[in-house]
Amino acid sequence: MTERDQTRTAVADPEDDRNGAETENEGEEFEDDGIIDHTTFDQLLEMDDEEDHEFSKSLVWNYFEQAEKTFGDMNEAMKKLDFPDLSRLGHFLKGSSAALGLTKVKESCEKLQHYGNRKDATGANTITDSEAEELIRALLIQMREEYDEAESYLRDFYEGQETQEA
Amino acid sequence: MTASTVETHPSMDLVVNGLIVAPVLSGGSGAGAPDFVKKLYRMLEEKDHDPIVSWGRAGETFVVKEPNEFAKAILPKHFKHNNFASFVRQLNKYDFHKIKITEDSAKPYGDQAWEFQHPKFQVGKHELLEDIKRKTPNNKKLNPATAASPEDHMAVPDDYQTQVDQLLKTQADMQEELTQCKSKLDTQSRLMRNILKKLGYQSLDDGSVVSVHGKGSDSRDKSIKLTLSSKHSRSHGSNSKSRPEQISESHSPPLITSSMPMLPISSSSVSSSPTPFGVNGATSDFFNGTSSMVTSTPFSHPFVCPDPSLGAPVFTLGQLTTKKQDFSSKRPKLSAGKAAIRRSVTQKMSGERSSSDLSQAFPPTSSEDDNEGSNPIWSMPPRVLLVEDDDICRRLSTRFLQLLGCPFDVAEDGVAAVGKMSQQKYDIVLMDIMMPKLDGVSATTQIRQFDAMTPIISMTSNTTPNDIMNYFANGMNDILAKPFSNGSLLKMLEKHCQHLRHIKLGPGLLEDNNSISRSGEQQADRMFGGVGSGQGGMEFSMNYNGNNQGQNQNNRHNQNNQNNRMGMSLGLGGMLMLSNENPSSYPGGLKHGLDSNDDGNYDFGLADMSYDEMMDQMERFAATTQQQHSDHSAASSLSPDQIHHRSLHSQNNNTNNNSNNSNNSNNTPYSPLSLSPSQQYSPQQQHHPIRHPMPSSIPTPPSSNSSSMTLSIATSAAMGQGYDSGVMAYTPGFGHSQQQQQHHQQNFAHGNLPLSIKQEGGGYGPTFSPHHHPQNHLHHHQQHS
Repeated sequence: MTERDQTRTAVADPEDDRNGAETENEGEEFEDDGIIDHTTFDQLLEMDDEEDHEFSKSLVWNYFEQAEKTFGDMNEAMKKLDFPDLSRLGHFLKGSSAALGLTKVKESCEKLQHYGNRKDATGANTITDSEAEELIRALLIQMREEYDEAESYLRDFYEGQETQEA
Repeated sequence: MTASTVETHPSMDLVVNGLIVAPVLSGGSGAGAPDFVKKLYRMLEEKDHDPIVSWGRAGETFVVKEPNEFAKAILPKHFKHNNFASFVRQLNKYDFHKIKITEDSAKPYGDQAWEFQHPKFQVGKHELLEDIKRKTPNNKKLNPATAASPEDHMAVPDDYQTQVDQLLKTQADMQEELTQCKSKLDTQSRLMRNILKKLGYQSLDDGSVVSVHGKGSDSRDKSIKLTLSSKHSRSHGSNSKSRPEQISESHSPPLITSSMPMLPISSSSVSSSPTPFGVNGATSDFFNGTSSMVTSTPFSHPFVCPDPSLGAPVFTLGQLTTKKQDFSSKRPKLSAGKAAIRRSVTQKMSGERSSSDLSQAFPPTSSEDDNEGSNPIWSMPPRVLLVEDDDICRRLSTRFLQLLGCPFDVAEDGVAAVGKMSQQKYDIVLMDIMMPKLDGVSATTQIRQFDAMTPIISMTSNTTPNDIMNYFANGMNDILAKPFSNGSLLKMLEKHCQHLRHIKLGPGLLEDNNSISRSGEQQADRMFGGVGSGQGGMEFSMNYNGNNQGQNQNNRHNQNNQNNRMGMSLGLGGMLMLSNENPSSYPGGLKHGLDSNDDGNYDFGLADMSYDEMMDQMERFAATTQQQHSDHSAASSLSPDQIHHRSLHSQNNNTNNNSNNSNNSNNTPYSPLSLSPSQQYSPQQQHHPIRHPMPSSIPTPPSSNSSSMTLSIATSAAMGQGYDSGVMAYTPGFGHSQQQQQHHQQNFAHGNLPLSIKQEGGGYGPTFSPHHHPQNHLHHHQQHS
C-alpha cells in the first residue's frame, strides 16, 4: 500500500507542475493527467469485460512491445540520419499512442513526424537538415522519458487492477 | 489224265483248265494284298460294273458313279454287305483318298460320283496292291497329309497351356485393375460425400443428394440429383450401405483442407487477428440476432453459409446453434462490455426519444438475452472492412466492432483492401490512410473502379483541408479523425448504414424481446417497405428461388453468390428474414450452385470423366460454394505477384477445362473460380506496373483454347474497367460452353450487366453502374484472340 502510494506520488509529482497547464486539455480530473488521456483510455477499459481487463491489458502490453521496437528503429534511423524513416516511425507510433490515450508520447511522435519531414513542430515551416537533426535528437530523448513515464503508470494501473481482483 | 494247265495271269485269277479257280493276285507270294483291296480290284475288273463303278479315266483312280446302285447291287457281290458308308470307311482305312469335287470342277462322272484314289491302286498294276496297307499310327506319320498331327498332339497341349496361362494372367490383371478402379471410385465418392456434408448435404444410396437436416418442406427446396452413371451407381451398390455411416462419422475439415488448399486459408488468416473467439462471437451473435427476428414464411430457403473468413468455418445454422451454446459459457464476460456499449447506445438514443420507453426496453437485456438478437441499433449489423496497418489500432477497432455485433474483415494494407473489396461485399469500409504497400487513398481509387457504392471512410490524423479534399476527390465518403472514440465510430457506422438500422424504434417493437420475434415480419415489411433501397434486393431474394432457373450454371452461381453475399453482407437480410424461425430446423446447408431449381438436377457428368477430371470437378464444385464466402485471404496475404501467378494457374486450369472435358496435364488444384479474385482484382494498368504485363504474360494455350483464354483476360480487364465484378464472381469456367462465355463476356463489354444483377434493382450495395472507363483496354484484349 505504502509502496503504491509512493509510486503514485513519484509519478504524480512531476505532473503537478504541468497540471495547471494541461488540465484544460484533459477531459477528466485525475491526478495523473497529462500522461494518459482518460477519455480515450477509459473507453478502452470499457471494452473490457467487466471484471477482467484482459483485453485492454493485452493491448497495452502489445503497445509496450511496439514502442520498444520503434524506439530501437528510431535510434537506428537516427544514426543514419534517415529522416524519412524517422518521420515514418514517428507517424507509426503516433497512431497507437493516441489510441491508448498516451497524449505526450503522441505529441512527440507528431513532432518527430514533422522534423523528419524537415518541418518545424507545427509542420508549417521548413527547417534545415541540421536543425532537424538537432531537434530530433533532443526529441528522441524526451520521447523516451515520456514513454517511460506512461509505461510505469500503466503497469501500476494494471497491477493495481490485479490486486483489486485478487 | 489230262494235265491241267494252271495259268496265272499276273494280275488275274488263277485259271485252271480255263476255269477261274481262284483269284490269284499278283505279286510274288500272292498273299500280300489285303483281302479288301483284292476284292476291290477284282470288282473293278468286271466290266459289267462299269456303269456303276469303274476305273477312272487315267486309271489312277476308281469311281463309284452310282453309289446307290453300287451299294445295292455290287457291294453285296464282293463285300457281303450293302453299306456304302462302311465301304468308304474301309477305303479310308486303307488310306484311299476321296477326290473332292469342287463346285466348278468338271463332273465327268456325274453329280453323285465318288472318286477314290490310292497311289498303289492303279489299273493294270496288280503287283502294287500288296503295298496297300492299313493306316497305322506309324503310317500316319509317314503320310505327308497327316504328318503333322502326332507332333500337333504333342504340341497342342503345350500351346493350350500357354494360352491358358495367358488367359489366367489377363484375368488376374483385369481383376487387379478392377479393384483399383473400385478403390478410386470409393475415394471419390467419399470425397464427394464429405464435401456435400460440409455443405450440409447428404448423399443417399440412390445417388441423390439431400440436405443434411432433412427434406425441405418447400418444393423449391429440392434435393439435388447427383446423376451418376448407371455404371457408377451399380459399382457403388454394394458399398453404398457403408456410406451413410461414413457421413455421420467424418469430420471433414481436414479432408477438405488437404484437397482444397485454398479454401480454409481464410479462416487461418483471420484467426491471426488476436481475438478469433471474438470474431466467432460476432458471427454467432449476428446470426442469433437475425434468427430471432424471423417468422415463418413461404420460403423455407436454406440458410446461407456464414462467411468462413469470419472465423472457424460454420456451415449450417445447426452447427451455429451449437456454437451459440458454446458461446454462452463466455457470455458473462462479454456481456459486460456489450452492456457498456448498449448503455452508451441507449444514452445516445434516449436523446432522441423518451428515455422511459427505451429503458424499459433494455433491462430485459440481461446477459442471457444478450445474444437473443436484441441488438438495439441494427436490424442487420453492418459488415465492416477494416483497413489498418497498426496492430493496436486494429485490435481496438475490431474489439469495438465485435461489441457492436458487427461482422468484420481486416486488411493490413491497401493492397489487401482492394483484394478483399473485390471479393466480398461490405456495408462500410474503414480505411486507414497511411499504410505500407498501398496507401488508403490509392486503394480507394482502385476500389472505386469496380465499386461505387460501398462507403469508404478514411481514418486519419491528417485532416488538413487539402487532405480532406484529396480524400473526397478519390472517392471516399467521410472522414473519421484519429484517434477516434467509439462513439464517433458508431456514428459513422450509423450514418452510412442507415438502411441497416431498425427503422422505427417504437415502443411496440422494443417492449420485450419476444415482440421482436413476432413482429419480425412487420419489421421486415417496414424495413423493406420503408427503405426503398432495400426493396429491390428483397424482391431479388424472394425471386431467388423462383427465378433461378435455366441451365445457366453461371447465372445460378452469380445469383447464389449475390444472394449469399447479400445475406452475408447483411445489406438486406431479406433472405435471413425469410428464413425459418428456428435455425436448427433449417433444411440446413447452403445451396450454392446446387440450388432449388425445380428441375433440381445437377449432373456432374461424372461418368465420362477420368479420375483426375472428377477430382477437379469435385474441387471446383466445392470451391464454388466456398469461394463465395471465403474472402480468399490468399489474395490478401499474397503479394500481388503471387495473386497474379495464381490467377494464371486458375485461368489455365479454367480454360483447359472449359474446352472439353479432356484431362489436361496442366490441371492444378486451383479452382477456376479462383479466377474471380484476379478478375476482380482489377489490374490497374495505370497504377501498378506489376499488373500491366498480365495479358501478355499469360501463356497462350493451345489454339483450341485460345478464345476462351482470351476471354478470361478480357474478362479481367473488363472487371478492371469498372464493371461490377464485386458481386459477379464471374466464373467463365465450370462447365460453360464457350459460346455462353462469349455471350457473357460481351455483355460485360457492352456494359450490360447480367440479369441477375439487375434484379437487385435499387438494392443496397450490389448495384453498380459501369464506370466509363476507356473501352480500349477491353478491345485491346479481345483482339488478342
